[in-house]
Amino acid sequence: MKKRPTLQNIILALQEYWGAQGCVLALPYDAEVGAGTFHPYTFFAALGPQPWKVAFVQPSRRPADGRYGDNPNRLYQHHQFQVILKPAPADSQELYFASLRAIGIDTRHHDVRLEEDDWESPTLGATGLGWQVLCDGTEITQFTYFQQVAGMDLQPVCTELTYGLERIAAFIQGVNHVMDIEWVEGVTYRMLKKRTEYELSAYSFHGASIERHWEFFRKAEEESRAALEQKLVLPAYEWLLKCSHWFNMLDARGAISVTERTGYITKIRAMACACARAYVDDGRGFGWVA
Amino acid sequence: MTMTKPFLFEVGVEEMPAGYLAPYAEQLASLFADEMKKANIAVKGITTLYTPRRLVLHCARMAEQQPVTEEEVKGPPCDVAFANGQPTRAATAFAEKAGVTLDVLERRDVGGKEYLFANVTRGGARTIELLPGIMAGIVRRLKAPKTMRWADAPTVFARPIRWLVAVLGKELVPVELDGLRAGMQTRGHRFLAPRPVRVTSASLTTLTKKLRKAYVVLDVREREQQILQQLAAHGAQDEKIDRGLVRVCANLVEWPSVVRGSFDPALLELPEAVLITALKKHQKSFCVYDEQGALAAGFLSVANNDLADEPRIRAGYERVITARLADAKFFWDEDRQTTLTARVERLRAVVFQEKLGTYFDKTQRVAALARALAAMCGRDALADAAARAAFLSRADLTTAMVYEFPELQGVMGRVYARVVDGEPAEVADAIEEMYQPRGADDALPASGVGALVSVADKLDTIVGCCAAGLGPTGSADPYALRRQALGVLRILVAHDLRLTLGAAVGAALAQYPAADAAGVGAHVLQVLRGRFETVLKDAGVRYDISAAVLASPAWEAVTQTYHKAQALMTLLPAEEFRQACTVLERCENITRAAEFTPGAVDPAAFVDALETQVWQAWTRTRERLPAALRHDDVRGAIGLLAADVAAPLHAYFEGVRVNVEDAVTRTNRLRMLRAIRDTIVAQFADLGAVVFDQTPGAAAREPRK
Repeated sequence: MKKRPTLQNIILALQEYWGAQGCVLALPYDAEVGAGTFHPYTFFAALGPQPWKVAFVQPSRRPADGRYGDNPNRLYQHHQFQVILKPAPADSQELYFASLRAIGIDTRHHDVRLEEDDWESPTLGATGLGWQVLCDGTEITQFTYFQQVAGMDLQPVCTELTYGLERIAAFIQGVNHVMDIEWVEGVTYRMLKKRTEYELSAYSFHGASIERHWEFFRKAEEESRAALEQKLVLPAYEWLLKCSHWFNMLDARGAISVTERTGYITKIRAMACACARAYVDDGRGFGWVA
Repeated sequence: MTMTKPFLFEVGVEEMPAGYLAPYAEQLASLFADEMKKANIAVKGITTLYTPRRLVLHCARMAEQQPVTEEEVKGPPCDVAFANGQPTRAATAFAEKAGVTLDVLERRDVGGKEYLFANVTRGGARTIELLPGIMAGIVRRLKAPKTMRWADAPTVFARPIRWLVAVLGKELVPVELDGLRAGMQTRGHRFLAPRPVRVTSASLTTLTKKLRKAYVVLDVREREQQILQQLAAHGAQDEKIDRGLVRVCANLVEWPSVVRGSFDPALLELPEAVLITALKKHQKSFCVYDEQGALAAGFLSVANNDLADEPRIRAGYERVITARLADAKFFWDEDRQTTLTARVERLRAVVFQEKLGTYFDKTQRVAALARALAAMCGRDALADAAARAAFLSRADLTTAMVYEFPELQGVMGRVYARVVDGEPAEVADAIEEMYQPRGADDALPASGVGALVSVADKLDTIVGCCAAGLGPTGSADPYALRRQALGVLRILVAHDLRLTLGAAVGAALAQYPAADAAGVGAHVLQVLRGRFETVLKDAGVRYDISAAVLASPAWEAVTQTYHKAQALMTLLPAEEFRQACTVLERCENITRAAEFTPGAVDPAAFVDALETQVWQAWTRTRERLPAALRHDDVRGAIGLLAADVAAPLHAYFEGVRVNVEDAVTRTNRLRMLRAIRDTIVAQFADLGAVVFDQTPGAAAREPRK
C-alpha cells in the first residue's frame, strides 16, 4: 500500500481483507437508509439460525446531520463499511484489528482503544453491546455484538462492524476537513460531493414540502401494510424504509415535536417487527429454501 | 494441619466498561470467600486485581484438602426399616443417602425405641477437584448492570470471556466454562505484547512481573499513581487534577502513558465551560492551566501505549481535539450573531410538552409566576430581574452550541446573556441557576433572583404536568416531578422565601385556565407534602415531630414549618414542651370519643369556676400565639401553652367531670376543649402526636402503615 491511501484504497483493502475471510462482498442497498443496519443483509440476515458473512459499503443518509458541506466532520450522507459475522467468531476482535492493519493503521504505534458503547436502533428494535473504537481519540468504528433485532433475541449472536469511512480516511490522510479527503489520486471528496451535500442540506432544512412528506409517509405506511398482508415481506420492508427516511426528513425540517417523535419511532418499529416476524416465520431465508 | 498452596485465577475478557471493574472484583472476592467457607476449605489472603481485559483473584494460602469429619447420622426406626427381617425401601434409601452399605448400619436404642444409625465420613476431598465447579459457578454468578451473550452458551457477562487461568501451587486447575478451558497462559497488552504469557505458578508476584514485561500494570492503584505522576511531570497542578477522570482513565488502559498536546490559542476565546466539556467529557482529556490558573491552549490525554512513536499519537489527538474545538468555535461565532432576546421568538417552534405547549409558552408562564412569587415573598425588588431571566431562560435551546453540547444548557444561556445581550450579571446568572438543583446532591441557586426563577420554573412544570394528567402516580414519575418538588422546597427553605404553597400553586395554576384548579391543586400539594417529609427527615427531624407539624394546615408555610420542626426537636427534652403536648393530647382524647354537635363556646353557660379559668387563660393565649409564631418564636409559643394553659387545664381535668348528664353543660365543655385543640393544630402543630415514652434522642418508632 502507498504511503497515503485514498478513500478508494481503503474500501478496496477492506473488501479484499473481508473477502479473504469468507465474506460475501455485497453491494449497497438501493434505498435511502440511515445506516448499514437497515440493509436487508443485516436486518433480516441477522435473524434465524443460518450462518452468514457479508461486507458492503452502505451510503447512509442522516438529513438532520447535513451541514451544506461546510462542517469538517458532519455530512448529510456518509459512508459506512459494514461487516456482519454470524455467528460471532471467538476471534472477532483479532479479525477486526487485523483489518485495521490491512488499511494501514499501525496498531502498535497508535493508541487504539475500545470504549464501552451500548448501541441501539430504536426504529429497528435492535440492540447490541460493544464499543466505539477510538484511534488516537478519533472514533473510527462501531463494534457491536448484536443481541436483538426487531425485539427478538438473536440465536446465534452476530458481530457487526461499522467502519466510518470518512473518519478513517481523514485520520489516515491527516486532513482536517472531510471535503479535503482524497477519494482517488487527483479527486477530492469536495469534487464529488460538495454540491450534493449543499443541495440535500438545503432541501432537508428548507426546501422539502412538509405537507407532501407527511403524505408520502402515510401512503408508504399504507403500502407497507398492504404488501405485508400479501406476505410480501421485502416490499413491505422497502416501504417501511421509505417511512423511516421521510420521518427523518420531517424531523430535520423541524416538523416533529419531541413527544411525537417517540410515537412515530414506535410505529416504525412495530412495522419492522412485523416484517421480521413474517420473515422468521416462513423460515426460507433469502435463498427460497422451502 | 493440612498443607496449603497459593491459588491464582484469572478471567480474561474483551474490554469491560470502566465502571464495572471494581464492582466485579468486589463480588469475585466475596463470592469466593463464601464458597470456600461453604466447602470448608481454609483460605487466607484473598486479593483481587483488574484491568479492562482481566479480573484476577489470588489467594495466598489455600488448604489442599478439606478436613475429614466423622458424623453419626440417625436413620429410620428399625420397625420401619425392616419388614419380616428384610430391609425395606426406607432402609436402603437411608444407606444410599449416607453413602454406606446396609451391612455397616448400626442399631441403637433411643428412648426405648431402636433406630438405624450410620457413621458418615465427610470432607477429605482434594481442593483441586472441588475448585473447577466452584470457580465456574462463581463466574456465572457475577452480576453487572448490563450483560450480554456472545456464543451459543448459557453464560452471560458484561463482555465476552476469552480465556481463563486457574493454578493451584504449580498445577493447572481444570476449570471449564461453556467449553472454554482454563490454561496456564495469559495475555499481555493487546498490541504491545501480542504473544501469550506463560503462567508457571500461582505466585502473584511472578504474574505481576511477567505482565509488567508484557505492558500490563495489573493494579489499578498503580495505574492511577502512574497517571498522576505523569500528569505532574507534564506540569499539571495537583489541585486542578480531576480525580474522577484519573480513575476512569486508569480503568480504560493497561499501560497508561500521558500525551501532552496543544491546540490553537485562538480557540481559548471559547467560554471555559465549553473547553472543559469538550475536553473532559467528550475526549476524556485533562485541561491544562497556566500559572494564573487560567486555561491554557493544551491538553493531557491518557493513551494505552508506550509512546514509542509519541509524535504520531500526539498529532492524532491534536487533530481530533482541534476539530472538536473548531466546531465549537464555529457554533460560538454563529450563535453570537443573534441575541437571546431575538431567539425567544424561535421558541414558538420548540415543543416543551405536547399538552403543555412550546417553550415560548413556558417562559411566558414562568416569567409571570416568578413575578407573583417575588411579591408573595416580599422580594419585590427582585421581581423585574427574575421575570427577565425567566423570559430569556430557554432561549439557548435554539443555539448551535447547546444542540451540540446539551449538557451546556443554561450555562450558554448565562454566557450569551452577558456577552450578546449585555444583560446584568444577576439576570445572566439566574439563567444558569434556574436548572439547579439537578439532583439531590446538587448545589442550590446562589442568588435570590436565581432562586425565584428556579422555583417558578419547577412549580410551573409540576403544576402543568399534573394538570395534563402526567403527574406522579405510585412508583411512576415519568417527568421526575418529585425531584423537582424536592428542589422547590430546598430552595424555599435555604433562601428563606416565605410563602404558603397553596398560594404559590394557585398562582401557577392561574396560568392554566383550563385546568381543574381544585383537583390539580390538591394533587400538587400532595406531591409537595410527600417531598417535604423527606426534607424534614433529611434535616434530622424525628418522625413524630414531622407528623405533628404536617398535621397543621399551617405546614404550607414551608419555610416557617421547617424552622418550627427544628425548634421543636431542640425542645424535646424540655419539661414545658411535654406539658404543652399533654394539653393537646388530653383535649384530643376526651373529645375524640364523645358525640356532640360542634359549635361556639358559650362562656355564659360555664358552671364551674375552673371552666372559666381555663377559658380566660386560653383566650389570652390565643391572642398572643399568632405573634409568637409569626416571629418563629417556637419556644415562646410552647412557653405560652405550658405556662398559661397547661396548669388551669390540669386543674380542670382534676376537678371537673366533662361528660356530665346535662346536655348543655356537656356540649359546652366538649366544645371548649375541641376549640383549644383545633386552634392549636390549625395555627401551630398537632402536639398531641409527639411521642414522649422514649428516652430523649432515641429514634421514634416508624409509623404503622
